Amino acid sequence: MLTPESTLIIKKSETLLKRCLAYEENRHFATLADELHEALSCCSNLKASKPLVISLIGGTGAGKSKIFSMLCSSPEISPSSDSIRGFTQKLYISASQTNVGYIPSSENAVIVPEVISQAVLIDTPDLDTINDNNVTLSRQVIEASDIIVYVTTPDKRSNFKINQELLKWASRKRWYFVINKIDKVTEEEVGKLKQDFDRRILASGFTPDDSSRFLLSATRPDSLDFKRFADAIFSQRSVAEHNLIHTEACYRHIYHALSTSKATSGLLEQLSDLKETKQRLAEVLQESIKQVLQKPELEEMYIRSIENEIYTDLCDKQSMFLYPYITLINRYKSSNNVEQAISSIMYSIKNSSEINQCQTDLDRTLEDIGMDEPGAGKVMPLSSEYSLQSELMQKAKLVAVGATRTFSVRFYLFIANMVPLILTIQALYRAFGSWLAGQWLPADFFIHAIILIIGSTIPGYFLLSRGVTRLTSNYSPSKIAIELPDEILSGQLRVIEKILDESSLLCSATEAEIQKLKEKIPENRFGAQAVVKD
Amino acid sequence: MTLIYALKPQLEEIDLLDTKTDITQIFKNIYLEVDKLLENIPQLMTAVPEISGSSCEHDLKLLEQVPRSLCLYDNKPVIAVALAGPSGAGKSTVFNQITGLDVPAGGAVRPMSFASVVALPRNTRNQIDVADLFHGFKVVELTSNAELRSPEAPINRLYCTYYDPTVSQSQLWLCLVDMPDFNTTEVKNWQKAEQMINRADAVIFTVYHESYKDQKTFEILKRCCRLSGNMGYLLTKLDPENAQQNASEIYEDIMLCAAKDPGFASKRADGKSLLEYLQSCTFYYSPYKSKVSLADIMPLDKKSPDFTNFIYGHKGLEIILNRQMESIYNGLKSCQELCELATEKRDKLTKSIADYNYQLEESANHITGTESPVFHVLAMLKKLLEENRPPLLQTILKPISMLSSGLQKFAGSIRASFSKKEIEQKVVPAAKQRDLLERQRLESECELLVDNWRRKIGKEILDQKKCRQAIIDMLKQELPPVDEEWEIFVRQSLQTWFESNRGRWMFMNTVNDLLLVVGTGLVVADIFIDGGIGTLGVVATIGGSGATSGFLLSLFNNMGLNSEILAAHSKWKELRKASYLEHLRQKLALPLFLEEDELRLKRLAPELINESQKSCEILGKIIKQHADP
Repeated sequence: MLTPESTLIIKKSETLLKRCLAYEENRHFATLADELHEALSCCSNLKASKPLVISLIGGTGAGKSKIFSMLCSSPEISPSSDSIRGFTQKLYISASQTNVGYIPSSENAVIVPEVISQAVLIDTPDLDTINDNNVTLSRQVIEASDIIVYVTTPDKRSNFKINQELLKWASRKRWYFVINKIDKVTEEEVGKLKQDFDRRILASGFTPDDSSRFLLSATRPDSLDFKRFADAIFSQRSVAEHNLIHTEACYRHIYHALSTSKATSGLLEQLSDLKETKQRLAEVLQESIKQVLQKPELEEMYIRSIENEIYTDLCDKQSMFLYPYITLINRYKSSNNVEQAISSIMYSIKNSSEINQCQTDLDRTLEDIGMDEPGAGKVMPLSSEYSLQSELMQKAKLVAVGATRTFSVRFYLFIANMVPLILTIQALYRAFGSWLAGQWLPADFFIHAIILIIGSTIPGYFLLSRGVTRLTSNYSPSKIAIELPDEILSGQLRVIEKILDESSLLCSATEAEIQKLKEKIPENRFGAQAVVKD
Repeated sequence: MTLIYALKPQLEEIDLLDTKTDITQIFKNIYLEVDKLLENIPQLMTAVPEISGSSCEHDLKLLEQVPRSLCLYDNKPVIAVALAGPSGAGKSTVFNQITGLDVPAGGAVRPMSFASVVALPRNTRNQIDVADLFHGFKVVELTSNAELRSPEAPINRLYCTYYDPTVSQSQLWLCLVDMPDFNTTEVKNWQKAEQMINRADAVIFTVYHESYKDQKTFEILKRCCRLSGNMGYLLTKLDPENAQQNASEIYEDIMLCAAKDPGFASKRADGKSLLEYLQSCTFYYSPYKSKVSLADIMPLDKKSPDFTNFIYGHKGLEIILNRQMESIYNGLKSCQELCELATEKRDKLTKSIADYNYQLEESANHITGTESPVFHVLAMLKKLLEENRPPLLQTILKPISMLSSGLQKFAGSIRASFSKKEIEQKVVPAAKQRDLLERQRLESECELLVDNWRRKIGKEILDQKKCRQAIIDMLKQELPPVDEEWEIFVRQSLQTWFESNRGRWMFMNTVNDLLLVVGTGLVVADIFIDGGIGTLGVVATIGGSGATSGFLLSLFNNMGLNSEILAAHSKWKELRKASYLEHLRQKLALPLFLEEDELRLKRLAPELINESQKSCEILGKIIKQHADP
């Protein structure tokens, strides 16, 4: 049964899975997706409200069948042999008829009556035998089990293969640990054996405890040890508790997928790698743009275009005596206008080999991390191109418009007009004065006066043009501050960061839920659980 | 000290081996070929990395462990008999029983032994060299039993100790080996065990009823069947009440499982299949007891010798020979496999390297382009003219050349005053303009090549950073210089032309400086037009732009130099392509990945493979002779 908490966690995991699947080309995402997928498929137990599954797992000759038979209280119910190994080749399932359907590969199994109410007890074939079918069958059962009874013998307890299987599932299942055939060991050795076994249990991530670790002999079902074990297996468990254990299993699967995944460390590495690449590319890009802007021919063009702009503006102002010059300049000025200058700067930027190299590097990086979907990344996206363009444009306009309002230009204009103005006033004064005196001045006077007035505008013109040049020469395009472009790889970085964040949040949320459930599912009745590691 | 290195006289004295073949010669031939193989194999193995971890690599180690000598003392051979088996089978217990020693045994801790220990009869002490008997092991005398329990022991460590034989050793000196298990969580032990299985002359395969059918146990059983010179199967810890019945049931089960396992169908060097060999082994069992004695170990077949007789009754030299044959036979098979793999790999590598070279050639072709190197020809022509100018003409032409150099200086100063410094730096002499063009092409070809390689080799190997670094390093390099061979060629062809066209040559000499004057004039005019370009006189000026180079070409045409220019062009293309090919190979492909491939190809030299195959053949023949005498 789904609780609100478990629904939320499953939903979050599914979202995370979907996110990872969107970037399957990236191998870390693919690994994470695989692991999450496996975990989520194990969570399907929750929805179907399956019975509790307890299975006996172990190597050849461990005595699983014997223990099973003893638990079922009929010595030969799962036949075994003293000599022949791999005797059990089928599953022996003790369950009610309805519950059998939940067990994988139960078609060929031998079904015996239910001994634990509402639960399934399974005897499995050997895990380490030469018969591959047996191994496969046992693995399927392990996957479907909630509680695993790990059966071994004093001689076989260090077997590598069985131990590997234990380690693989340790954090995802509940466990009972049993050493069978303890009657073959002398009294004094039992203590040492227990110590050694506890050490192994501890190394697998459990806290050894009398409630989940048993040293017994299946041939002596009346002994205290066996009874204790049987009590643990047969302990009262309500249906609600079954659900809790399923919920916990689901959490543990998700936690296992997220916490042990190599994908996380791989992604972290990739993230720092990408950040470094981003920084490097941004710096190279900034430097290359700067270099393009510093190109003398482009700089020249830009400045000229600003000058032209200033003269156009001056034309509308009261330039008085300088009007003819400015009109002439405007008429015969070179065709440089600001738009053209800027577009040729942009053209040079787009075709700069350094920037193309940056683009190639970016493409390759995206390919390397498997996130090279079309249109994934541009070192010079249109937005930053526009912003640079408008920056240049604004600057030019600002300089041009501002120039005519600056004090110096006004001062130059004033000075330039002053001399011809004085001369004009002087000439007019003389002409008017003599006219009042009834004397008409000779034509010579007027001709000279006009020549002088016109001549006196020349220094004024030079003054103004020098002033304008001085003003514009301060505004080279290379002086525009270019920000480190932020767009490079930012989308990809966001994706990775987001998935990492979500995964770690989900991981800690699941851990908290597991801790909450811990008290509700005691170890003596449900088996030991591996310590959740940080 | 009687240590005999396969020497004929001694061997003939000992008539232990019941065979008519000249055994010394066999051994000699074997050692010779094995040594030859061992020389070649490591090199081939490094070139075929796929083999690492496979059974093939495993079996190749057998050849290394073939002892290079026969160890005899008092005319009796020393035979290494090893107790092999899973953890808990009682190897150490049996070992203690036979030798009377007290190495750690029992079940309080599992596993108990962490190193192999060999026990030799005490009277052989200081008489035989144990290190020689166990080729490849580091032999250390055992001082305390605790040493065997230390997991820190290195893999090739072999502890050696001595025992007092209780049985008279008539045919051989029994050298008993107790080894670690091969199935516990102590993975290092596996290697130690397998290394000893690779060496031991005879094996007593010890298992207990709980583990005889484990996957790993069966695997090792198969290996022992394949390699040992003689083998016994000992089943321990049976239920004392019906030990014999259980033992025979288990025996049947083992044989049944072995018959089903296709691995047991493969043949040994002596022609038997592994199953047949297993069936021919003597089978012993012992019931579970807290204190086991040798007397408890019974043969399943009553006709078989008892356990003690079995251990001491090995047929000396025959076993050693059999054992070595099996080692060589198995090593040989792997060696042949390795040779086949190596040949396959070599073909593949040759093909892919040829592909890479083809790509490089294409790129070199693109970089060279189709433009005529007219300005280079001109530069050479000018040089030749100056070298060959008659002194009289020099005096006559002096004022003109002075004028031209004066003009050039004038032009230079004008340019200096008119142009900004940055522009000056960008003014590239005409001959360099072609370099610039080639450099641009080189840049784009590099990117293309790298992209191709990434697709072919994999982006994991050639990641972005690596590629960029390689390209940066490549572009830092100077372009390859103009080939000397080409200069010599052009010089020669021009010289021939001069000699056959003396009149034209004189004309050229005369107009050269005039052309320079005109050329400089052009340069001056040019400065006023667009800031100026070249400074190398008219020759360079003309070389600088397409239109002028066309003009010059037509001038040459008129001078009858057409064929020389064409020849120079085709020669240029050929040589320039070659030098770019080399440039790209050396500076880009080799450091990035090709070096590794080429090294691997070099390691896979055909002579090496052929030689190995030949040795394999010879050894194969020897083994065949041995198998059916």
